[in-house]
Amino acid sequence: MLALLHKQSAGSNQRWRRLIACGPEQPGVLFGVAVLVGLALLVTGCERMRPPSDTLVVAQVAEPRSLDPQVTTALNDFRILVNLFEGLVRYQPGTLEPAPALAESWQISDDGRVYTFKLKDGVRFHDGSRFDAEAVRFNFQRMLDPEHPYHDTGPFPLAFFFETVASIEVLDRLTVRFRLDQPFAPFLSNLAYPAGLIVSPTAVKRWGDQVGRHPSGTGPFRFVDWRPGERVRLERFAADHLASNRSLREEQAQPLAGLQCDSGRASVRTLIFRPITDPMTRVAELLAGGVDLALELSPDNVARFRERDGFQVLEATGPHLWFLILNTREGPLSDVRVRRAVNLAIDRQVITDDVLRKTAVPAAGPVPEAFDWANNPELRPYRQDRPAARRLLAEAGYENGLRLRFLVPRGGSGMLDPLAMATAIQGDLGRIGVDAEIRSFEWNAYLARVNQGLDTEADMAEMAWMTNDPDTLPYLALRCDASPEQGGFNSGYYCSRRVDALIAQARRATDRDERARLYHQLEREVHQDVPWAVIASWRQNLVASAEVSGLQLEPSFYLRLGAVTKQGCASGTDSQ
Amino acid sequence: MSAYVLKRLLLLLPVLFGVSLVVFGVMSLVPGDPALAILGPYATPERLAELRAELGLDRRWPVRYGIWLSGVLDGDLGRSVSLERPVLDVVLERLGPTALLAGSALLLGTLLGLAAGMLAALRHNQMTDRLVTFGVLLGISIPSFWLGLVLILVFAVWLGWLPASGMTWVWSDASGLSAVPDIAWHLILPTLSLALVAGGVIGRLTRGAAIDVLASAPIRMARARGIPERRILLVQALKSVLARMTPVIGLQAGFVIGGAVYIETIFQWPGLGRLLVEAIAARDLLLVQGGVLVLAAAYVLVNLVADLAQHALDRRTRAA
Repeated sequence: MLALLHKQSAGSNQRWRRLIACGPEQPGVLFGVAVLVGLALLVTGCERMRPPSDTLVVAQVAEPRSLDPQVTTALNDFRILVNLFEGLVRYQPGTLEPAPALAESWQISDDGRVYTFKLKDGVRFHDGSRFDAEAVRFNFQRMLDPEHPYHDTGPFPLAFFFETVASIEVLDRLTVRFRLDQPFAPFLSNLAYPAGLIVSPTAVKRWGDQVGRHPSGTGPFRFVDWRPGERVRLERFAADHLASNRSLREEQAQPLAGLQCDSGRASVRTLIFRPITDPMTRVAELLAGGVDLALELSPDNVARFRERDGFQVLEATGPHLWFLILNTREGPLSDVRVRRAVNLAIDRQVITDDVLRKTAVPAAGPVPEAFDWANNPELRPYRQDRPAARRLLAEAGYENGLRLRFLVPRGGSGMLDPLAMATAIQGDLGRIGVDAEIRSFEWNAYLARVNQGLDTEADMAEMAWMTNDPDTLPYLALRCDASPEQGGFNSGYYCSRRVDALIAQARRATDRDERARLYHQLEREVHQDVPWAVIASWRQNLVASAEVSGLQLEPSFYLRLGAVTKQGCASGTDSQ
Repeated sequence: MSAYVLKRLLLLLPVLFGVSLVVFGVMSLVPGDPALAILGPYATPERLAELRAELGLDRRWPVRYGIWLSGVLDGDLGRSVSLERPVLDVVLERLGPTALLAGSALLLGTLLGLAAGMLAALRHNQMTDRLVTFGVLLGISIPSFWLGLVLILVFAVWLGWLPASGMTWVWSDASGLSAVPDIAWHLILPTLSLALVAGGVIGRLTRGAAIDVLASAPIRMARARGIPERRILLVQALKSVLARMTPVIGLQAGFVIGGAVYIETIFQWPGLGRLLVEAIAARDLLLVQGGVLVLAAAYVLVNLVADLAQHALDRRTRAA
């Protein structure tokens, strides 16, 4: 069906289309159709089929759950939030390194336990209230302190990102100090995560647990309305929105003059996020021009849009890792030789290039490439080597082959194309005499099962993680003490004291180079012990109409749209 | 008559009770819960337990059902965990669009079906009959979701005449009356997708009913008395056909309400059907419960109306 959609709508019917289609060049034809179809058409014009030139329509994958950054956990919602709110720090564009945002600067004590932030002056929330150190303390206490009067506006599922925070002190109006109960190097990158975005305390007090539907932050766009199932609309936060705007930062409140049309291009004044849950409908809307950009299209569709005129495909490799958890405690994979054989059997390039149509890149170790400072550049992904794999199997006593029980979800967050990938892996394993038996589950059921640990039930399972710090994944899923029984995600029961020590040291090291050295070593250890078969990192994609420019897809996969412009305004006039 | 209506309305209560019990039971048997859906990969057993307790999911399902039921009796359908809002608000908000889509699809399907069926019966065994019957058969056989995709492809992507999805232009500020043309414009394709299929079924059965009616004694009598043919067809025959077709139309209401689930998903129509699909994926039990109850009640009520209509038409037919 989708192939048809693409093929048929391309080139060949262009002439026919020009004759009858309702495009900007031939608005008059619509009236002929109006007679045929009947009602209401006189008031609708062709130009209404496309968003106006000062409005950017983003096709999202789901209805947002909440626009309260401390309440939601969905990437889908984060893409809206980063345009509404700012945190103390943010990821520097194009990287995953913390850079100043609402905090101008900060100091970290030598023991790595005290963080002191100096805040920007003159910042106001969209509701007019002032941003200051009290507002920062209010936000974190709301999340962390069960006694806080607004703690009941939760639940706050990601509060554990800040569980090392022992106290928050307001030193003066623009200085705030966090004390941690232990040195915790990922603290800054956790602050850059959406759970660290700062919400207006006034809005929380006014709306209570409904603040997620009436968000007020300090970001470049302010919230306008939310029509359930249809749209969330934001508007550029302009100086005229506040009565008392004298002390506003200039970059925060752009004067409307700056939005004027400049040689046919205008800054986007209105952002509309449309939930389009059906992937085929997202493609259709993109082709029909009803949306300007769409996210998370299937690899096949992205490949087709790459070749189409009038569209641009943006990609960014994210801090994402797709891997197989191998059961290191029970069954044949408890033998490291068999685990290496499995790793040597899989052709990662075929999976990323053919199965995933280049929407992923092969990955080597537990630290995704997107953390460029921490990733070990010398480490290469396992290359397919069947003779070596067979030799290892024979050494381990499996010259006549073996059976593996392989758990696979049918979809799921970050899982890419889990069934197709599983089939490719099954094929590769078959060629070295390993018979992998796929058992597939719906995502929620799958998570419930795999997070309990593979135990005697399964030998391997697919898993994927998106993280915001190189610490997160090893800490949660590779330590001896992170087994499911102890509340962790180490479902394959890998345990190495050396790896444990490296993780612990890297957590405490406040010097980045020292941390990087520790992660390099950690990656080498894991590469040797192969508790996982690390396969790929996702390259997130975004397909946009060629009329849109100024887009940047961040490695964090967030979508900051403050600098986006669109073609189509009449030159020399205001974009409205 | 009013006793009959009252009895039927009272029967609605056990139906809704049964439906709610089944939905609650099934949703509790399905693996995964909202806490897991919210936490996703971060769902450690410990955090899951905490969030479950916070959301009240740690109790056994009969207990939760009891709590829910007593809430319902107070007019409180509970709170949606995936949307962070009261279920009643969400469901009422989405009821309007679904009623609009299902209503217009049923109306169009009925008109098309009756017209096609009557035409085929009048030209019984002629070329027109065969053509109409073939068309009707196509309507019955084509799955409406597939039809929906083809309509999007042709009218939105190739021709650019109609919007591909949604209920209004998302960038428009129109609301209330001024949004009517917007909505009408967006309504065309999803309505057609449902109506062509529903119309096929109605057309097929209308044809059979009309052939019977046209050959029946009262019609032959009317012809013998010299009543103009047009009057016979449009008044007497149509009335009898309608009386026979009303229950079928009522059943087709069930089809369009059920069909709304996938048609709303394909066309991103902000109605109850799409809400249900999303709620099931998020394991949002109370939202599923609320949505299903409203749809079930609507189905029962539409069929009640159909029964009453048939009753009324029958009496008039008898009087005639």
